[in-house]
Amino acid sequence: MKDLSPGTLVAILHEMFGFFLWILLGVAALMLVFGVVFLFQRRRFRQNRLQVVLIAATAIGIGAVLIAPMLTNASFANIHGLLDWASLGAIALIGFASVLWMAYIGLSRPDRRPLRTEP
Amino acid sequence: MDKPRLRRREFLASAGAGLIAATLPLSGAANAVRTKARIVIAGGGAAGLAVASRLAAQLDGAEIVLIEPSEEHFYQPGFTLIGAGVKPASYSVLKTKDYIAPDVRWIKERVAEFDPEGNKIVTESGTALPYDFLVVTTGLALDYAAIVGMDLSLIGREGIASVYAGPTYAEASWRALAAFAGTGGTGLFGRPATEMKCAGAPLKQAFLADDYLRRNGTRAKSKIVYNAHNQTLFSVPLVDAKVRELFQRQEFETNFGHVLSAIDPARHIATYATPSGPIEMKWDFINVIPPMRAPAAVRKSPLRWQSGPFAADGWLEVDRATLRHSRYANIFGVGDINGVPKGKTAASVKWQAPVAVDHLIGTITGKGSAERYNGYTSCPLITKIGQAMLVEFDYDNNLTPSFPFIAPLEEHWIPWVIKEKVLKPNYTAMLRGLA
Ligand SMILES: Cc1cc2nc3c(=O)[nH]c(=O)nc-3n(C[C@H](O)[C@H](O)[C@H](O)COP(=O)(O)OP(=O)(O)OC[C@H]3O[C@@H](n4cnc5c(N)ncnc54)[C@H](O)[C@@H]3O)c2cc1C
Repeated sequence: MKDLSPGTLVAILHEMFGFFLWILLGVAALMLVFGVVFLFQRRRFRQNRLQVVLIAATAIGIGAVLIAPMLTNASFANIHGLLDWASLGAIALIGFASVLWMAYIGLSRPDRRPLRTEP
Repeated sequence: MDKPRLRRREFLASAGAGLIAATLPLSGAANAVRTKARIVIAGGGAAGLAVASRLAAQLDGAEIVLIEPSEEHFYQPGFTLIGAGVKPASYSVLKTKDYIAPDVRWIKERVAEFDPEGNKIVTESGTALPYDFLVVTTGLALDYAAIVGMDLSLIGREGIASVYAGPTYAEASWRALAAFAGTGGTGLFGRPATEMKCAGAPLKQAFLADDYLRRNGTRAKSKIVYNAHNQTLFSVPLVDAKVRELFQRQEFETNFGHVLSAIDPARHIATYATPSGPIEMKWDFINVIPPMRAPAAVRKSPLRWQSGPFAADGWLEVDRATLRHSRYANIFGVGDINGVPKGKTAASVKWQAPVAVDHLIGTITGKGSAERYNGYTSCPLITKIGQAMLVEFDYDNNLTPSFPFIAPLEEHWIPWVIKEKVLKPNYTAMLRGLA
């Protein structure tokens, strides 16, 4: 596993996912571009939507943690030490952040309310 | 309808691989060295395919010939997972043709004779192939016949397991292990006294059996006996100490200086050669790992070590840093065939292939090469289903962890994930010369 350069990493991911990797990377790139563009606009969630999004993101984050060991033929009993818990934490965070990001792109609307100015 | 879809998938796969190749430094066709050199690669396993891919990417105009008899390529590190019931036999079976670079000519034969004085090899059908450079990548031969009474057809029966023989044998071994875990009893483990590939595998298999016995509630009425061939459990002292600690924790019985010499399947009796004479032990389950030697074609050739520890089993005489033959400057060795300390893993192949290729190309260009192989070997040492230690080391027994955040001698889930999910794609990327 020594010397895991970005090129090597892409080659390994390509062996894992085949052509689907390029679709995944394309979608991720689009999400990134839209996300960054939207960040420069003023956008907002409707209050009730924001709550649903946060609940969904949390559920996906927790769900990812719960199924990750099973997807590797392991169980929670095998999680041992800081490394494993930190990795599960990262999985939860990635799940949570991805849902939030997707929701931001798909569900947020331009904020057309006038900017409040000082009298 | 089926065929075009397959073709399309193949096209997409190779298009993807090409796209990656184009982004990697080694493949720049513009930087390729122009040459008319004739290069023969003897053996198309992990090492042969990796070397062929790298040479094809870095040379322009060379005649690269790969000699490999088998249409099936086995991802051998998967055998342990098959033998543990985690993966089916098909997990390890790949097609050789899928990993041969387009500019490489494949001869589906076996090398019968090496003639380094005449700069040629002769195949089994009698075809002579002259070369300017030869890369020997034949791997090693499993010598089951050296164990009296042992026969491949016994694997999976009479409590006999042996994952080394191939994927279907690994699956049969799993059946034997599952039956043993159900009933409990005495399990015998050990390793041969010869050099061997993946020296961690015998330990992993003992740990896995222990795990299954515990899961089945039969551990209390069972005995795990590990018969080490010499006075250590692992050749790297730090790892040896750790394995001893784990063996104690798991209550394994350990004997040193015991080498399996014969089995009697009808009576379930194994005979071990020990310093104080032969000893018999009864088994309910036995994990047989055969002695390993260089394949006959190399063993009987002038390419073998002439003296020293690697002479008896006919290993290839190469310089351990440059992997160039010590007596024939246009011959290199990569992989299990090399008579070097340690280094009989796919992880070693990954580090040896670029070194040997760089020296070969450096000879063509006259520029030489400063690349050195330091003996890097890696072994995800499984200690139970779902946990492993990522043990990596070099010729000098230094631990050489790839990731500073993974302690090499601690059992974690993440090294297991690496073994279970990452190593195979890493391996196939290596075959394509991309890792
Ligand atoms: C049970 C098991 C577990 C393992 N676990 C790991 C692990 O966890 N990590 C790891 O890194 N490695 C592991 N390995 C080791 C790894 O698989 C080998 O070290 C690696 O395959 C060596 O590559 P090679 O090309 O030298 O030999 P091989 O891959 O065996 O290929 C040799 C090729 O040469 C061909 N050949 C033989 N004789 C001739 C001839 N006369 N002419 C032409 N061709 C010939 C054969 O057909 C074969 O295709 C494991 C191996 C086993 C068996």
